Amino acid sequence: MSKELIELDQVIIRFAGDSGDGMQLTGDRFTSTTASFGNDLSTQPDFPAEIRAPAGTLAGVSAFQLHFANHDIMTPGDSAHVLVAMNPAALKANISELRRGGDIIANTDEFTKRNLDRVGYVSNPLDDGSLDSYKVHPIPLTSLTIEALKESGLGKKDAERAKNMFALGMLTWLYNRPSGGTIAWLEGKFGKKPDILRANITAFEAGWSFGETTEEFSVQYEVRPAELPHGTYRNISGNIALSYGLIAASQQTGLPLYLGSYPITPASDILHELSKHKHFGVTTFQAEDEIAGVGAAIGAAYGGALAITTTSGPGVALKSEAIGLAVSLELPLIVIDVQRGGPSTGLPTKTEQSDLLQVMFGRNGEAPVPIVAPRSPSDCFEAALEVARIATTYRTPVFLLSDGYIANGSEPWLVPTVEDLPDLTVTFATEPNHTTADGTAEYWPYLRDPHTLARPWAVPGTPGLEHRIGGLEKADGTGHISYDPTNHDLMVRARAAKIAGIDVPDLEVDDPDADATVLMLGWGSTYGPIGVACKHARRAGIKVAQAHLRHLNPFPANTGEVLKRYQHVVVPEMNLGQLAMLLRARYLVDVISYNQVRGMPFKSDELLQVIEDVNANGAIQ
Amino acid sequence: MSTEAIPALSLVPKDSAGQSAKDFKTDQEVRWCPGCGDYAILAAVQSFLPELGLARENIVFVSGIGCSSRFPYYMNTYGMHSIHGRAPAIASGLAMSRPDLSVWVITGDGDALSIGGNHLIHALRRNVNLKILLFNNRIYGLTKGQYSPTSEIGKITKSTPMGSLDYPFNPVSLALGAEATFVARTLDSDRKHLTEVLRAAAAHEGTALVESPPMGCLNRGVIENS
Repeated sequence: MSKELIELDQVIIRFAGDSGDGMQLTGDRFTSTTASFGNDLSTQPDFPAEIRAPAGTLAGVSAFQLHFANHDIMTPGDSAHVLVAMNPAALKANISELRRGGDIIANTDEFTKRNLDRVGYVSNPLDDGSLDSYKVHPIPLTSLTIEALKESGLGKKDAERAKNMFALGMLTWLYNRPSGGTIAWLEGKFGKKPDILRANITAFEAGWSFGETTEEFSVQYEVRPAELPHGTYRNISGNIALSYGLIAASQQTGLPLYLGSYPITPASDILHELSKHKHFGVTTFQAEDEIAGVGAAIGAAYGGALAITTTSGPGVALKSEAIGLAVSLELPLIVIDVQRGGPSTGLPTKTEQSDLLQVMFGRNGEAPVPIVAPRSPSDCFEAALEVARIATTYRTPVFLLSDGYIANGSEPWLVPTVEDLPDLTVTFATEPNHTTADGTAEYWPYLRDPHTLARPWAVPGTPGLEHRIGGLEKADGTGHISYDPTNHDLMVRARAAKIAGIDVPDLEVDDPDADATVLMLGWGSTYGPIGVACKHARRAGIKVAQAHLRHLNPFPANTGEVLKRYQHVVVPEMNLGQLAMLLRARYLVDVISYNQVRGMPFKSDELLQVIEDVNANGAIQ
Repeated sequence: MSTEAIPALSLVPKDSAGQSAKDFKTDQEVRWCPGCGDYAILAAVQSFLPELGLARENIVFVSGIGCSSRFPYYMNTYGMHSIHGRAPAIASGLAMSRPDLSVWVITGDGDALSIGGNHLIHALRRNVNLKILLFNNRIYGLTKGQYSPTSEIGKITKSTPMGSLDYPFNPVSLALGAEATFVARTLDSDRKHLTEVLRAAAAHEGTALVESPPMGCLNRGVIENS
């Protein structure tokens, strides 16, 4: 039976189930298939921090949202068109993320009285009329899977576990996706367990056939590939793009990559990924704690490595003293902070932008550190190269501020060619740089480059340049310990001037007709939602400009001029106004701060409302 | 003993010019309290290193904070005076990424056993190529006289006017408990024994812990410093 094929521009699917239902994996697989099909896409996993909350509870619900389209998209989407709910808890926890009129595919086998009671449903929402404004597709996914696998020889429990593959097969049919990629992936994953492999393939194919034959779905949908610039694409998450960017930076600088790290959500995937790449000269070290992670990286930096430490907000707090040491030693060090909800342990699996002031100021003494923030998952690659450039050119620790949304979200990435990567070649000091009055050649570790103000980098093993450095204040030039008041004043100012003088590109403004009065100014992962909101506002005839700060310390030289060019500057942030505070202090511009800290990215509709308000009234209502 | 024959040092380039103790001295004035045992250890290290015959530029001394941690400034090698307790972590990163270096950690009882206790035990179990010299004077000297994790019970110090209550660590037991592969205790006043222990530590493949109690501590701290 051939069904009608309806073409759509875009679809947002939200997979939701119990933590044990394999929803992240199902979402990942559907994403890979979609990426290989050529759609533009953006994803957002949403999972609990608990190791495994009791099955069937709201706390145990894990979700994955995928937005794919035949055109360029910037976010995982505000609300879903389709919700796959593997149990009542998944339905209850995610129904607010589904748009009115959307499709609900519910696994009816799990809608038992006990499971409904557990999450507070008095009656079954699938048939009590409460979901009348949606299209409900009640499908017994578990029993259909068990039925499909009854010849497999697997026990009921094992057979049941393949229900996510059944659901994946069904959706693969429904959205007319190729199935070869998933079969090949299963073969790779379960090649050594033929029983499990067969069961998963059977469940996947049964789901596909069920979609084709059931009267529950009268149509099949298609979303054509997007027309993106020509080249090789792959789907990539922020943490993986960051890892690849760091490896590329190692190649481009000619320095071996050394990572000192301690596991922490949501940064651990960078440690996992880098640990697979020994063949690129990568060394990873899982230290005994956050402090040892950064300490080992500082040791490696002294030895001439491209030294990196990765963490999240609580880890930055622990590393602060050592980062101050790196400021004083003036050694290159990349500190990656994948931000999460705080304070304290906070919301480990949720996103937030609340570490900006911590990384800007959170050290004793005058200890300036440059800050770079990527704006999307694939942008992490370029941001990694940029922090490597700054760290090695200016001999300084540099912060890269990612966040949970960027780290775990994914999008297609146009794989760059090696020839297009920047040349970051580093030169170590090999000769003395000072001659004493009696003609003796000496090495002065704190003799600065007049242009960059960076000190030379002489690594152990270089004869004649033996020197000692430390966290005590050093005399300008010689680097000997100095308690001289004037010298301290000079050194504090020299370190500040070095960071303030870092060469960063100007802030670019997207203002199509150059006549907007409202500027939306963001940083980091808010780029997508702000961009979509601006696009929608322009469609509605509102003049709005967008600019996005990648460099937060130092700010681009034209930042003040851009701020003063607009009547109203709105700064949306997933914190209580940290960038807004810096901009007001620095430029004396009364920016409008718009904030939320729900652990989720902004919805573009919400920001559209902000633009409309400010455009009409000069303020947020 | 030729260093060619020492596997632990086989990757470290050798000196060709010939060295003496004075090659390892810097122009910095040594500032410890008069009579401090740190002087003896410094002198012993400076006279023992030429025997190893390693290229001076391939030797690095890393220290934390405390009286003994001034040590790197007096060694004409590469060196880093870092932050309190973290020297084993910093030195681990350096030794791991640069197997061509001979890396030494200089630490004290407060630095290694209190604020940096975690780094010490993990460095010992990890067994990378590091030599840790622990100057155990059983007191916080630099901060001018508080009790340390190796102070005896009942010790009267500025922070324990009624006597210390805490049971002290035995650094050797601690190291053995962490499965250290080389642990030694020596005396600053016995130059011959001290040198012999340093020689054995240098030849050890892995992390070596050498504890030495500088017995002459006046608890006054580094001169002109705090």
